Amino acid sequence: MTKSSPSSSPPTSSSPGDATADTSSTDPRDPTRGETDPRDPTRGGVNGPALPGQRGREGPLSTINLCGELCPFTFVRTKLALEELPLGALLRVIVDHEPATRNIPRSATEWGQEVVGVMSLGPRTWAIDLRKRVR
Amino acid sequence: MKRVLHLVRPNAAPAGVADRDWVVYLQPTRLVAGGAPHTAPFPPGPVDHDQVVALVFAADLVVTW
Repeated sequence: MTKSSPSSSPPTSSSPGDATADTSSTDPRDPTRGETDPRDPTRGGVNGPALPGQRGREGPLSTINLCGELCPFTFVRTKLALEELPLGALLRVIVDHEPATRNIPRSATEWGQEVVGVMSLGPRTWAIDLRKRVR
Repeated sequence: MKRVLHLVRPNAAPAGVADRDWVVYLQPTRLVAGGAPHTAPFPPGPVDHDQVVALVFAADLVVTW
């Protein structure tokens, strides 16, 4: 189990591996603790290094790899990752769940974030670029 | 009082759920009735992605299982 940090407006959320203050859940009841593959620098968090050559107009591009994750967890984790970033930051969300290519941009837009673009990286992999516009 | 949302993956079993908590099971996605009174913004039953997202924003704490 992973817990999120609450929020005033809007509330925060979290999920396993997400980059929150709680990210490394020590809750013994958490059945997903330690699931993150330590070999993957981008898996489950935004603290991994940006891919080579990736820089946003206002800073480096953070990447979160959500391959293997399904909706609505894809958005929950995207939300959490964005909350960790400063305004103006770019976040690349990599997914292999096709509905997420529609759900994440729609929900992010409704939240007030900017959808920079959605692109295919491969037969079943997509990148969703978001820029943080609101807290 | 904190509003806690539990998102429960298939085959996962949430623990420590209070009556007042909101619990959404996935695949199929459904909000289950908690204790009375039901405080979630949607009635118990099937919920779609947007409703889950609304619950995520409405909750003070989201716990994933």
